[in-house]
Amino acid sequence: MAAILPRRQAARLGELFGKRFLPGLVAIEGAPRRGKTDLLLQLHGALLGRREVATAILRLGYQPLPAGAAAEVAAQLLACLEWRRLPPGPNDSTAKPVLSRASMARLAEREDLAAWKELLDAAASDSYGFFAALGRLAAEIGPVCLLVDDATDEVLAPVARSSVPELAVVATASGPAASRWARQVVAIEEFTAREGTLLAEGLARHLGVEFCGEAARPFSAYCAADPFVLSSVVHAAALAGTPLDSTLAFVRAYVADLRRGTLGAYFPAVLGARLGSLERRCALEWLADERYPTAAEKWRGRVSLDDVLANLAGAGLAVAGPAGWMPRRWPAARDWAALQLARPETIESEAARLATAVLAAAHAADGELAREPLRRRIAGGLAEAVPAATFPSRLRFREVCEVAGEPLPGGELFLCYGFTGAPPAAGSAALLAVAVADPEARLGSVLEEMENRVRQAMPFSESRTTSAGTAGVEKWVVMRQPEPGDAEWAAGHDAQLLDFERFNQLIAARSDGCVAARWETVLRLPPEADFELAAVRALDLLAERAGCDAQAASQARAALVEACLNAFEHGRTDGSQSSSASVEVRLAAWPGCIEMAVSNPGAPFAPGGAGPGQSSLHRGHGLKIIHAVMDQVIVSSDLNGTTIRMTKKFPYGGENRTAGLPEHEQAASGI
Amino acid sequence: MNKLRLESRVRNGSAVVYLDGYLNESGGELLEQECRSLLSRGCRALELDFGRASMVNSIGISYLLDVIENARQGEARLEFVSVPEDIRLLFELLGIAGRVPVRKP
Repeated sequence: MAAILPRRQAARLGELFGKRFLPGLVAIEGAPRRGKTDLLLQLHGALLGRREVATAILRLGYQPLPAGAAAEVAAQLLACLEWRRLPPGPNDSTAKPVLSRASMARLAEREDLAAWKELLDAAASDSYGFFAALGRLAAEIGPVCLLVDDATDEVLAPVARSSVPELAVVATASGPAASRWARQVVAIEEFTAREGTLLAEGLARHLGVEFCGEAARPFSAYCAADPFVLSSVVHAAALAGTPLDSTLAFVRAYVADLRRGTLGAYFPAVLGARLGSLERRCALEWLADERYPTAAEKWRGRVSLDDVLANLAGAGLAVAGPAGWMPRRWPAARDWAALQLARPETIESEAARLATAVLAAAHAADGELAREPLRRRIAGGLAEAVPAATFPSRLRFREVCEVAGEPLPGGELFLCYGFTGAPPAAGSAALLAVAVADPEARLGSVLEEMENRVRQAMPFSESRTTSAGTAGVEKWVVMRQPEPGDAEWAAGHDAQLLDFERFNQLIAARSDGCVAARWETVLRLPPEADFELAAVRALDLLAERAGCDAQAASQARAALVEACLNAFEHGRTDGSQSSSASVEVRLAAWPGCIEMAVSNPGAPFAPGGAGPGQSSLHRGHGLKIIHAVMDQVIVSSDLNGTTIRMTKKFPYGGENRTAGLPEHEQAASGI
Repeated sequence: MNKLRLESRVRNGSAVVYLDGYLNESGGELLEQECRSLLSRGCRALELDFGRASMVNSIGISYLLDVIENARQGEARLEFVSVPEDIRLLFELLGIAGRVPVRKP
């Protein structure tokens, strides 16, 4: 695991190297313009002042290895060796080898450099090869320290994998890649432990997940549940003025998608560093004190979208935008030239192709993807086109893009799919979205789309979130990306499967212009403690979409929890604490109404009575709560089990929308 | 919706217990044990602070009833403070609000 050196120790990096050579990667990370490069240059000077380490500096600017880099590095190393041969002088502490461009050009012409140059040049098109060659060189000539400014993932990954004891690389980066790969990290943006904890706890609270402050989690777990991704999304959302609830819904869904209930102990420090580009107090206000709108206003004046995008790209995350649009500082822009040249209308499909390809690569790399529908698509369409051998443990987006041929519907959105670094772990293929031209409208749509996708990948046996309309007695299930089997699923629910285009046509053709959007989710939960919270999270999303007010949502939440607890308890048919058949939770919401049905397969139970193995002191309150907070409650039992159906109505747009629907539509809306 | 965490502060025989997270069965047990421990250590005034409680379910409330009973037997003063509106509604429904002073945030 990487150790983080606090800023006050950063200046001592030179001393650190003086005491012992640090092979492997040391990363200096922080937001742009925070002095990373200055620190690197200080270290360069300090190392050159000593003779025992051959030192070279490489300014990448988040670009891949440029042509000629190998020769330049070789020349610098040779200059150090030349200097090492000179007898020690009185001014050694300030003397430096000559590294002017002219000097290096002369050195580059020397014959004794030719072998090195050839060695490095041969591998220069591939950073793995380059660093492997550099490692061999270091083994031959003694300790080598390469200082890389604005390093990319492409550079960091091979160094991290290198085990050459004579090769050290110190790299600056504004993305999280450095901390992922490095053995030691110098955090230029240092948050105090207290601030970091506040941030982590605040975000965890918002997300409804457990913050595990004491128990350290493996570094790999951090990589998968990358708080940087979350905070970047939050940045982008704040900049776009997206409402807090929408942002949180997305982040919540993202975390759910990772299928983890905890955030690691590594979280505070890393999140602190990631939020470094924000005004610290604003971030704290949002996360700790829930004053998001105020904080977002402040952020807008201080953080630009370019900053966010630069950080994303610095993290190895892909960003797509309309033609002609280019952030001022867009690292690795070269890889995206094709996208920039494409016509606006083709951008989306290009981005979609890329996204599919990236996910395909992730799939190829470790066979695990969090998003089951995408995995199915990839497995079906790209398995032969993208053999695992095509993708080493790192990703090169351009190559990936070229081999991908399967489009992913992009709709009206600009989708940005990224990959948080190699080797890809399950769930580390991050979905990010940044709205550019029309931030507010687009980001909202993106978030909705993300929710849809994430909901489809809920970790339960059957789960769908759909938008449906009702017309006559027909029930429509409308999905953005129907998967094989969805039609059967819809038919099983007495519904007709429609794609969005058809849905829109039908809605447009309605004479009353009413759009009775309806969202449904079906969960099957094991009858175990705390699984009621999964139902609550699903309900929160639906209630938000349906425009449910906070009070009604809170009451529905309380009723759902009680219904689930009842079902869990009575679903244990043998009366023991062991789990048996799952409990089915069906949720539906549309403007003005929430409906919930919780079914357990166990023996019928007497409403209000204590369950098997429970004392009456501790049970019996659930149904009382349900009846008190819901508008309608129906409990039905038969030999197959018990179902509690609950309805909660709420004001929407000044009226109850269901009241305005024809009776047959109201009837058709029943779960 | 994290699991319940408790933090207790005792001063001059009075204790404040801060609830943070979801008060469910396991959380209720934890709370009941903590309150019993405080009472056995001589606390004669207990204040349960719900300011950071995210949710309470009926089983958690059952344990609150135990806490109320224990406080009564120990002749200790008990008060629920910073109770969010949605939780206060449940307290009223289940008769807790009539047995213990319940203060809003």
